[in-house]
Amino acid sequence: MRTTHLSPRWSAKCAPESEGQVKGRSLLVAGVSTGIILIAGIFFVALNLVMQQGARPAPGSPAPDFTLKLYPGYRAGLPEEIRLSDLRGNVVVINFWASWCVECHKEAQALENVHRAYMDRGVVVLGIDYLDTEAPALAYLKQYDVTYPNGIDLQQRIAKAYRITGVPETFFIDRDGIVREVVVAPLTEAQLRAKIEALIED
Amino acid sequence: MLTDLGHLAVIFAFVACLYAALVSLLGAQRNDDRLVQSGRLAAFITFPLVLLGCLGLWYALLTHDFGVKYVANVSSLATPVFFRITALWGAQEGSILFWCLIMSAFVAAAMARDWEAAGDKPLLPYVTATMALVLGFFLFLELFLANAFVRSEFPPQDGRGLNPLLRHPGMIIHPPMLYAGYTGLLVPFAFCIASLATRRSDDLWLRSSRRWTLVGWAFLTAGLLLGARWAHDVLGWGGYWGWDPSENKPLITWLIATPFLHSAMIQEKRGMFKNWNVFLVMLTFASMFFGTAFIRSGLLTSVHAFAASDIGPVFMAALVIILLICAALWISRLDVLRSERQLDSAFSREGIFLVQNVLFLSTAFTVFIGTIFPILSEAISGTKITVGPPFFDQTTGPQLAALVLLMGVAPLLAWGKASYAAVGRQMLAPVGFALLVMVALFLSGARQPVPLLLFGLCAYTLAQTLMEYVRGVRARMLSLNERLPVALIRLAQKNQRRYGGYLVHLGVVLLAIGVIGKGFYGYDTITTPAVKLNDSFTVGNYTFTYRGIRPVPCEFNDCQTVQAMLLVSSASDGRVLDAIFPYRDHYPLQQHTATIPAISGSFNEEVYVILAGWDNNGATASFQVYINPLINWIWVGGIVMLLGFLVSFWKVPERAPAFAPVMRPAGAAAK
Amino acid sequence: MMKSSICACISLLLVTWLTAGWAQAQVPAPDEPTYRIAKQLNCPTCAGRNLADCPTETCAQWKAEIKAQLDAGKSAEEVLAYFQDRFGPTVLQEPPKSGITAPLWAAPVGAAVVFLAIAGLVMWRTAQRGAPSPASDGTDAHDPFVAALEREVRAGE
Repeated sequence: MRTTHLSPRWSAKCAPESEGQVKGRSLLVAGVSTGIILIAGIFFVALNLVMQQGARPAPGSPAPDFTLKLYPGYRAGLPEEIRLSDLRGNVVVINFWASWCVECHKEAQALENVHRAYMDRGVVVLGIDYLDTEAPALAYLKQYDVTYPNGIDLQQRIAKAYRITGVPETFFIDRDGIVREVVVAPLTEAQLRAKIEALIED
Repeated sequence: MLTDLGHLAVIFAFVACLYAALVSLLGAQRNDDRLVQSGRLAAFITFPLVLLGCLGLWYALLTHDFGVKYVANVSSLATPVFFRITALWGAQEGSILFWCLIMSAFVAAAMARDWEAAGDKPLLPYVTATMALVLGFFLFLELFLANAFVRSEFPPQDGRGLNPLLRHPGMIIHPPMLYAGYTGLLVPFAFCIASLATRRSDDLWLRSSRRWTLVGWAFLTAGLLLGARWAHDVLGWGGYWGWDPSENKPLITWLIATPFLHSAMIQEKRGMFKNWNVFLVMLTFASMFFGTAFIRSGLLTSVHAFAASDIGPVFMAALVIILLICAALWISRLDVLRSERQLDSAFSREGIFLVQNVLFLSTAFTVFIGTIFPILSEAISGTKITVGPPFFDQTTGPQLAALVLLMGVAPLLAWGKASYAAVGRQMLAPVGFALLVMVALFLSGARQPVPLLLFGLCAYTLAQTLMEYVRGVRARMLSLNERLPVALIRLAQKNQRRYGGYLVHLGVVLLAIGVIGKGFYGYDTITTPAVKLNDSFTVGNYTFTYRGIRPVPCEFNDCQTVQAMLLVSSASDGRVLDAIFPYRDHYPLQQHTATIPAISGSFNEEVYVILAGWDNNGATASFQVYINPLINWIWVGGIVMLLGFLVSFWKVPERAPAFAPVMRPAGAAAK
Repeated sequence: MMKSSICACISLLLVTWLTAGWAQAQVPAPDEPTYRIAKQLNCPTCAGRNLADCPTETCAQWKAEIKAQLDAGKSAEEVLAYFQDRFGPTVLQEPPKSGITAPLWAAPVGAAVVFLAIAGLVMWRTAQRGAPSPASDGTDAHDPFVAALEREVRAGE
C-alpha cells in the first residue's frame, strides 16, 4: 500500500502499535478476507448455475434420463412407471404440455395422429404434463381422444432436467438416446411426420 | 452519423476516465498540482462526453434508426416520442449508458466544487481517481459487453416496442432516481477512500461529502417509493411491495446508507465510530455494486431482471478487486482511525445510535439472505426454494418495529450520558398519547393485539417527534417573544439538520401506519365467480355492479384495450359512490397482457379492482377486489420524508459558513 | 400550560382521523378455506405472487383443485402436502422452518442476536474502562436536552 503524503501539514501522527492492536488487526484481516471470499464464492456458484440453466440439452447431446408416472388409462401398454432409458431402441418424441396452455391445444390432435400412424414402427410419443392439476389434464386428454402414453411431471423434475422455458416444447430423441432436435412451438402434423421419418431412416 | 459520433464520445469518455485516474495518482505522488488539476479536468469532461453519447442514442431513437440494434429492441414506429426518450433506459445496454450519464454528472459536480475554499484539497487526487475508476468500469461494460451503439447488418422495418411494463410514469422516473441514489453514494465512498489514502484521522471526508450523501440517500428513497407506486399501479396484485429481488437490492443499500447518515453524526459531534463509518460507507458501496451485479447478470429472475449476459463474471471480478483494495486500505489505516473518546454510557445518544445501526444492518442482512437463498439452496441441494413475502414480513417486521421505537426514544437521549429520570419525564406525555390512541382503536373495533400494539408504537413515536418541535417552538416563543409560525420557521432554520431529520422521522411513522394498515387489515378476495351483466357482488362494505365491457382506444398504438365498467355503491345504504373502469391491455407484438387496476374509495380506505377475465363478449366477467385501508399513508409518509430531506438539505443563505463548498463553473475552477 | 393544550389538540385531531377510517375497515378477512390455502401457495405463471393474487388460467385450475380436495374432505395440511408432492417445494410461499430452509429462518434471528451482542460487548467494555471522557459538553445533567436547546436558541440571536 502506498502511503503518499500530499503535504506534511496533513500527515497524521502514527503511534506504535500495541500487542492487542496487532492481534485485533489480524482477527479483522481474517474476518474481512473470509467475508470477501464468501461473497465471491456465492456469486460464482450462482453464476455457474445460471450458465447451466441457460441451455436445454442441445441437439447431439444425450437426453437426460427420467422416470415418469403415467396417468391410468394412458399407458399404451407400458408399465405404470417408465424410464426413458427403457425405451432405448425406439425413436422418442417427448412433448411437454399443460391443459391451461392455449398453444398446446393446437397440436394435441397432430400428436395423437402421429402416434397412431407410427406406433408400430418403433416410435413412442410421450406426453409430459407440466404444472397441471389432474382433473383438467384428464379432461384435456379425453377431449382429444389421446391414446399415447401420458404422465405427470412430479415436482417438475423432468422439466428442470430439460430446462424447458414453457409449454409446448418438443424434444426428438433418436434410437441411441441422443437429442436430435428441440422445437419450442406448436407443431403441425406434417412437421411431425417429416421429423420422425428422418429419425426412422437414420 | 450522430449516433456514431455519440459512440465515439463514449469511447473518449472511457479514455478520459483512465487518464484522470492515472494522472491524479501520479500528481498525488509527485505532489504536482498541475497533474492533479489535469486529472480533475479530465474527470469533469466525462460528463459532456457521456451526454453526447446519450444524445447520439436519443437521436437514433427519435429518428427510428432501427439499424441500431438497441433501437429496434426497445422502440417501434408506434412508440410515442415520450417513450422513445425514456427507452434510453428501457433495456440493459441503454440503461448502463444512462447510469454512466448520471454517474458522470455526479463526478463532474464533485470536480466542479471549489476544493480550495472547502479546505479539502489534499483529498482531490484520490477522489478523482476513485470516481474515475468506478465510472470507467461502467463505461467499460457499456463499450465492451453491452454496447448500445451496435448496428445490425439487416435493419428490420419496425422495432419491437418498449416493454409494456415500463410504460408508466413511476417506471420512467424510478430508474433515474435509483441510479442517482446509487451514484450519489459513490461520492462519500470516494471521499472516504481519499481520506484513508492520505492517512487523515479527522472527519473532513464526512463533512465534505455529507450533503452528497444526503442527496444520494434522498434519491434512493424517492426511487424506492416510486418503484412501490409503480408496482401498485401497474402490476395489479393489490400491493406495493412484493419483495422482488430487484426491489430488495436498492432496499438493502438504503438499509445500510440510513444508519451511515446517523453514525456519521456521531463522528462529527463526538469523534467516535471512525472505523465504523468507514466500514458502513464501504458496505454501502459494496451492496450497491453487488446488487447491480446480481440484477444485471440475470442471476435472479425477477420482474425486471435483465437477460443473462457475460457481464456477471466481469462484475464479480471488479467487486472482489474493489473489496480487496478497500479492506487493505482500511486495515492499514486502523491506527489512524482511533476513537477520540470512549463511550461513557450505553444510555446515551451514541449508545442508542449503535443499537440502531446494528438493527439496521441485521435487517439489511435479513433481506440479503432472503434474496440470495433461492440460489444458495439450488447450489447446495438442487432445489430452488421460493422465499416469498411471508418470510420477509415475519423476519424484517419485528426489526423495523424496533427501529420505529428507537426513532422515538433516541432524540431524548443526550450525547455522552443521559439521565433516566429526565428521559422518563419527557416520555410521559407521548406514552399517554399512545395509550389513548390504542384505547380509541380498541373501542372502534380493532381487537387484534399485534396491529394494536404497532399502532400504539407509531402513535408514541409520532407524538414524541412532534414534541421535539413543540419544545423548541415553545422555548423560542418564551425566550424571544416570537409568534408561533415565526418561531417554527426560525427553529428549523437555526438547526436545519435536526428538524429536517425529525420531519423525515415523521414521514417514516406515517409510512409505517400505511404498511401496518394494509398488512393487517388489507382485505381481498380470490377472483369472483363470473358476474353476469348488471349483476352485483359485495366485498366488505362495497357493492359492485357490473355494467359491461367495451374496447377502447389503446393509450399506445401497439395494444388492444378492453375496459370494464363497475358501479361502486355502499353495501349498507346502497348509495352509489363511484364508477370505475379497470382494464386490460393486450400487446400482441410482445405477447404480454397488462392488467391495470381501477382505484376508488376514500383516502383512508382504498378500493382496488382488477378485471380478471370475461366471456362471451362481456356477457359475464370476473373481478378481483382488494380493499387497502390506510395504504395512502405510505405515499404521504414518503412525501413527508422527502420534504424533511429538503429542509435539512436546503441551504438558507443567511450567513454563509466559511467552509461551505461553493459551486463554480468548471472552467473557472480548473485552471 | 400551552404545551399541554397543543398536545391535546394534536392528539384529538390524530385520533379522530385515524379512527374515522378505521371504523369502516373493520371487516374480518374472508375466512374462506380455499382462499387461505391459495394465499400460501406460489403461482407458477405469475412470478413471485401468491395463487390468490394471480388471475391466470393455470391459477384458476389450481384454485379449483384446492376447492375440490377440500370438498372431498381433505384437511388444509393434506392439500398443501399434495401440492408440494406434485409440484415440488417451490410451490410454498413460506419456506418451512425445518429441513433445508431452517438456516434461512435462523439466519436473521442469529444475525440480530450476534450483532446486538457485539454492540453490547463493545459498550460494556468501554464502560468497564471507566474514566468518563473529559468533555461532557457542560450540559445540565438534569435536563440536558432543554438546556442545550435554550442555549442554541439564544446563540443564534
